[in-house]
Amino acid sequence: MTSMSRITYSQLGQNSLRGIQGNLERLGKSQDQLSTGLAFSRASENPIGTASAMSYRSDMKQYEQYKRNADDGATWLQESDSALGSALDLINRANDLVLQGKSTGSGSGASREALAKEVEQLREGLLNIANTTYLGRPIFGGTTGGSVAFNADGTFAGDANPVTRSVGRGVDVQVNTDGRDAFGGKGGAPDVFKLLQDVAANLRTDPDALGGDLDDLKAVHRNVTDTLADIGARANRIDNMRQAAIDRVLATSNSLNDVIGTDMVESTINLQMQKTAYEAALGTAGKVLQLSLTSFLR
Amino acid sequence: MGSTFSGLNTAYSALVAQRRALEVTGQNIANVNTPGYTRQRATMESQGAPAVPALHSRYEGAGDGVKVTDIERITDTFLVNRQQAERGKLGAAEERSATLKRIEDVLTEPSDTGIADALDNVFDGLDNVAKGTDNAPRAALLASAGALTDDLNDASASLDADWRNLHGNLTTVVEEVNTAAASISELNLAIRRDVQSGIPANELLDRRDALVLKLSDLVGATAKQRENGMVDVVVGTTALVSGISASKIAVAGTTDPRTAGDGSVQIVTSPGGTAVDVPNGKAGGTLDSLNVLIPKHSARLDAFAQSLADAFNPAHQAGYDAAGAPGKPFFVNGTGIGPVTAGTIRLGLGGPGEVAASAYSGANVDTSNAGKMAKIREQVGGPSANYRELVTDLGVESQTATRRLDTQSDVSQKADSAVLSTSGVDTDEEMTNLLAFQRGYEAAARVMATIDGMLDTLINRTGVGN
Repeated sequence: MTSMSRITYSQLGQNSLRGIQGNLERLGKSQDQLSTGLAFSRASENPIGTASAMSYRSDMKQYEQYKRNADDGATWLQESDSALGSALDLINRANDLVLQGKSTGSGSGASREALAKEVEQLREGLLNIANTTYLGRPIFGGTTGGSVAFNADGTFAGDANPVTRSVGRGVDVQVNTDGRDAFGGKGGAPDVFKLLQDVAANLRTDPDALGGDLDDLKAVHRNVTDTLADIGARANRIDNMRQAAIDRVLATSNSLNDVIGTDMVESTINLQMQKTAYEAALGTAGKVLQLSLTSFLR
Repeated sequence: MGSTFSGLNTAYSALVAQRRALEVTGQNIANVNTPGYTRQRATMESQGAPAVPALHSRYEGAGDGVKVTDIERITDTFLVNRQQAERGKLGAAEERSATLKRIEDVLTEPSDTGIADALDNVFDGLDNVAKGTDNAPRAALLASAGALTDDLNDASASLDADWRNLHGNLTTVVEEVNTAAASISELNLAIRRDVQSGIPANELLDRRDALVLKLSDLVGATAKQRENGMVDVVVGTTALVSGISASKIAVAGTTDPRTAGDGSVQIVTSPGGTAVDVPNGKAGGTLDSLNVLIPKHSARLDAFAQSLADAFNPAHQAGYDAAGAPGKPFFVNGTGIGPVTAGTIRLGLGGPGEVAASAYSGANVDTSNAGKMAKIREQVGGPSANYRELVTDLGVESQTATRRLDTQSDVSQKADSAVLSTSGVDTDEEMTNLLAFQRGYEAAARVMATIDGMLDTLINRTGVGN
């Protein structure tokens, strides 16, 4: 009884059953992979893969956020840019008016009064531009809670706190412009509002002082163009970072899919092979389990 | 040649023996699908001549026929013991693997709806506050943070509930063990009686073996043979059944998942209270889950909750809210006492206005503090990394447990198979035996008929009739 390993009929049955169940389990797993599109659904099936997948998902969300921040920052800079562009037009007009007023040829008091009135209009226009708002806050006022960056008398009503946007890892770009950098008034630089007020007064009463005003106006002009250049550089930077964020989102999405997505071709082939194996197991069980000595006796 | 009729006796003994063997075969066939049945075999011995030497009336016969001396139970004690040991290890491995899988299910990673996602949403919310100045992004941030604390509370509560369930299961298992041990001691008594009076007790032995196997499944018990066919059932170093007396066990220790830890739940003898070492069996696996697996991962979840508070609170308290007041702690313990745990973590802010987005005091619409807090996402060793580590460690542990379970399954199956191979009933074999015994019976009947014919000739035909 011990030289030959003894197999009983019930063992045959149990072996067949185990084989069939094993095949069915593998078949079920392949079907799962194909229908959900996920190569694994538990951390224990692939712990390293899970860690990578979580990392990638987190990164994707972060880069999408960077892109949204960049969009918002770009709009800030766009608003500042167009506002200062308009301001430059007004300053150029003011320059023309001062030149007109300086030339003693147009000498009558009435024409100089008209010039002065227009200069005052320009001052109002510049004040309006300086108080441009975006989403309810003055873009040249820093982080002030008030509604204007400059008061009607030309004094600065905002604060010096920067508004920054995070557009990349460790990359923060300032998206606002301090009103005093553009319109003057910081550290003794000429303040365009006071200047225009003075120009209007000089046009009315003291045309000879207009020469000094002209120089001041040129300085103000340079201020604005410098600020515009700075804004342009920052807009460029934000644009670059925005594109980088978009690229990273795509790359990370691909990496995530590589880790956690099912390889459709491989899974389909596996499914076919397992289906064949399952059919073979069923067929074998059917043939083997039917044999018994009882059917051969008498 | 013995007496005149001794041949008839021999033939008769053959008929009886073959019939008895046929009955044993019939018993085997009837029980072919009975689980735990050990096949039986009739042991036949030829009867020899009387052993008394004599001078004149010497025995010249050929032997006195055949006798069935024993109904043997075909079993290999070594294989059965091995089966018990492997079943014990299998029970423990199954329980551990199942517990780790359930803990994984509580955390549901990797997915885009779990705690990792909720945490990312909080960071997104902070970024959105940094971009806006009205209340809408702040309210959204509070909602996201609330969702995160809800997820953590849920996870912690689920783990605690699972612990309590397992504790209940353990109590049930211990009751089953006590019942089975009592039955085994009763069977021991019955078997001893039968063995001492020479009656075959095969069915009782089968029933007892089935109970011992059940105890192996439950607590990893093994059987040790004793005199008179009895067994002692041992768990670790404690004897659960000793001959005809059985002892009881009970569950002792904490019933509060919050105070669980190494060795906090134990199995003890009852009465007596001495600790019983149960490393195997379902009870062993459950004890491991209660004392080590669940408390460990629960503690890590609590540590993660604390790390959230440690990362967010100082950054939030460095800022100023919409009213210009300094920020309050962002995550707090809801009960107000003790450190922040996953079950007690709550949002410490009352409304959108209390989000300390500004870095400067006074009235302003600065949101740079919110932007700074959003950068906690990138921290090396920050909460995101902490949580990923937690999930990965759990995944690796669960994977290892599943692998061990698969291996142990195979080993256990082989041990079961070996026992079946020796003790299982094979219908083909029984059919063959049936034929053999049937022909044997027919041949013995033929012998009887032949001798009868001879005697008939001798008695009725010799010297009768002229």
